[in-house]
Amino acid sequence: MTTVAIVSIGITIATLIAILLERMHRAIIALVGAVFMIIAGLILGFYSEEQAIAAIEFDALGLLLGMMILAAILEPTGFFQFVAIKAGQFSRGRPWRLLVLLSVGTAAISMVISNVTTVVLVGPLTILITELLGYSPIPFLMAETLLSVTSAIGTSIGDPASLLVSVASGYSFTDFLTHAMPIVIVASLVTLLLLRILFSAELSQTPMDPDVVNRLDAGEALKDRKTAWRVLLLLGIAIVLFICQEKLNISTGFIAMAIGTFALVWVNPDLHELLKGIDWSVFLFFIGLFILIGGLEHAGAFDPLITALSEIGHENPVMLGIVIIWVVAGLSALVDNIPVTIAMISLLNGLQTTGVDVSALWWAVVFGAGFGGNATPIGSCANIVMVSLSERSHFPITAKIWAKKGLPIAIATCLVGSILFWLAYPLLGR
Amino acid sequence: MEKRKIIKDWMKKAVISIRQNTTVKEAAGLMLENRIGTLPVVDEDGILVGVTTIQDIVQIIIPDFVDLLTDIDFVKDFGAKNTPSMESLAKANELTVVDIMEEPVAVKTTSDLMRAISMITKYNLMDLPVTEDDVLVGIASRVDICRGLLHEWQDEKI
Repeated sequence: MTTVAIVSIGITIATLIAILLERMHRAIIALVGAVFMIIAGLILGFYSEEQAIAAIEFDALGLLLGMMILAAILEPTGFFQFVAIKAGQFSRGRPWRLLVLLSVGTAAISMVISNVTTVVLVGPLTILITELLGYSPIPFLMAETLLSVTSAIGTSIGDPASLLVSVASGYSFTDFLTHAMPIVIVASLVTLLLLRILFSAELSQTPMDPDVVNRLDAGEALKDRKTAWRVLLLLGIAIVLFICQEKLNISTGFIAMAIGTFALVWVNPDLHELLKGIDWSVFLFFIGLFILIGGLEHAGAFDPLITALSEIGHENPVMLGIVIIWVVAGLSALVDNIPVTIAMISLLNGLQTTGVDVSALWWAVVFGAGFGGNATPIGSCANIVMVSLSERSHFPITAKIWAKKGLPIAIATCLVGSILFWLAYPLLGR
Repeated sequence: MEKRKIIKDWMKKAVISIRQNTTVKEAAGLMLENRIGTLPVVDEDGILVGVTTIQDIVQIIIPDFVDLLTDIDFVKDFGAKNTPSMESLAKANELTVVDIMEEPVAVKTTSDLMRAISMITKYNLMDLPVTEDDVLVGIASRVDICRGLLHEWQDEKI
């Protein structure tokens, strides 16, 4: 291996370890890694400033920002509370029905809106509804998190990992609906089934007063009906445009930014307040990682791995795909799935140049990143957020609870993902 | 010059305090018995180490969602949470004040009334402990301090 490869791998591994140690915000660490990568690149001559800028996927950032603006406008309207209360009322207080309605509702929203935003807003309402009924909120909070993380990869905009793969692979919104969504639906059903088994005691309780959910006023919870309708309409238009995106020949990033901008004009919110609701650290994290992994790519650090994998890729691409699912899932369980996904994208791009058909392998990355995130409480941002939310209640989701309930589900969904990948392999390619 | 109005002249000198190992249930009993809402916590030397309020104690039985949601106007009925659960009552027996007490905010005996009311407002307190060399010597309620200030007002000849 060349010196530049070793140096760039060293910087990347140090950055990933620092992210894992969590002594400092992951965005700061990613930026520090990026700065060191550029300095090393300039000194050793493998990475220029221009190349570093070019490594940033602005399409992904635009898509993320546009969708975040829509979510930030929707957030204070009370729409999420409204959905959760309605789910509670339709359940008539029965625990299993409540769990299915709440988690499917959360999953459906998180296919379009970031799952962190969704769980942050649905979580407290779940605690409210379960406390009123006299249940422990733990099964419900876990179901929402697991299902939102699993289902988010069903669309190209639901999860940062699928967003990145979509931009890199060229797979459109529609491709995600036809290729990833069916597998996600099966995985979600398996998740629900396992939740039913793992929480069988909690889900067989009878409510003390089932009517209490009907005395929640969903209409009053939806404080700004007008804005909520406007944002939902615009989200609908955005989805239609995403579906027609290939025909229109415009980028998804532009669609999201344009719709986001239009929403700002139509709703005219207090911009300062709105911008506070957007998690800007995600952008810095992304930029840092793009530059970091770009350096890795330019240093040729992936070359030995690409050579090794290209052999397997030529001989047994299905096997390679399944290996990718499990490796990505394993790594996503330990670190955030974003750096893993960006690294895998570079790897697959490299693999493609050796003549391997990687078109189906992109889905393996998506499934691994989505399903693996469920394995540990730190596997995805939604997990971290939900665990810290539960810690503020009297029913904290401990690492032990997660290991007992979350880990088996992650393994089962990866297994289902692998089997379906194997069976559907001919359909998954281009 | 007119004598400066200081907290020492308006505070209650008979202050009821508790130690760190007092249970929450005992603290609640003291509050009920003496019709007070704040119990300063002191160590063996009488040094103020914390403050327990009636709000801190009631917090144990307030449903979790009240803290987690920005708005609960739409909750018309507290269902299973309408009465404190046996668990939370049992918890009051187990917990000692050290588990629920807050960092003390106090003023010195020589502090003037405007500083005292500013502290009360800034930290949203009901009562303000008063110390001398960190030892608890008195306590002044919002009303005590405001009375002192209004009294000053009445004395002014405008």
